[in-house]
Amino acid sequence: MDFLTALHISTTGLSAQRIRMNIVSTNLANVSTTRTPTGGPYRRKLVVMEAVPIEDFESILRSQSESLLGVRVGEIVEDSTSFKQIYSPGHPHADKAGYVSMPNVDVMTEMADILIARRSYEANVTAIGATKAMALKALEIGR
Amino acid sequence: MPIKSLFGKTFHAIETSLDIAKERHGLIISNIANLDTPGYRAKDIDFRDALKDALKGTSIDLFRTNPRHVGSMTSYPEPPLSGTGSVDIDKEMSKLAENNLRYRASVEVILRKLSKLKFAIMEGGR
Repeated sequence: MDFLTALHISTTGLSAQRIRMNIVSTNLANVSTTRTPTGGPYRRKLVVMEAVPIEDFESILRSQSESLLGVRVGEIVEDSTSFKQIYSPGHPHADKAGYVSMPNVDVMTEMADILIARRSYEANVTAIGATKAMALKALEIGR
Repeated sequence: MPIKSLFGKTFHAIETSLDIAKERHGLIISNIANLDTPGYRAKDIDFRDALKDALKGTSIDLFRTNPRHVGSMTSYPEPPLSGTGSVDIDKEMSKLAENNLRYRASVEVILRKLSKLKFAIMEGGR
């Protein structure tokens, strides 16, 4: 492991959290979308994080089975919970009984997710800061 | 007088501790990146044990080649909660800070030793 590998690992964390943020934003933007290109109301999307081995030169050289793990968004899945039914007979997408299927997006849950993503992002930024501080300190040797 | 005595055991020990702190940094960073990975097990090495092993000369290799080997690297035994990893953000951040300080302290020791040597070389004869 060198410091550049450490930076790379933190960067994978940053980009994964950013993707997650994008997905949460998509959910929030579509909180009342009743028609999507595929038909039917919008379905809430979820990201599933996945650990991915970072292979640097040293770990390959030593053929370590237990290498360091970065992260990536493994897949983006759809939340399969049922749609909310809202009684609104005048709505063009209402069914015969007058109910409209609204997306299964809960604003509170999404806001909480935003906070979690933000904290995780910040943790990775702090980690990058620590890596930089260590690398710069090491450069002082022999000055 | 051999030059080796200029750079005695201390340098070797500090060098080893720098190496271990660097490896540990990698593990902590990897834990932080995987904060939200379901099923991920946090990893860590015990600094003291690793240093002791390394200084004894028995092993400088901090990684297990076989997961069944008993080594200085530990995964936390806590079972991962459903939908989330076993990483505790508070623990990891404090470990990050602690490890960072340890590294900087070791570098500082090297710096001071070197400046002492320099002093002896430059000013000793005056």
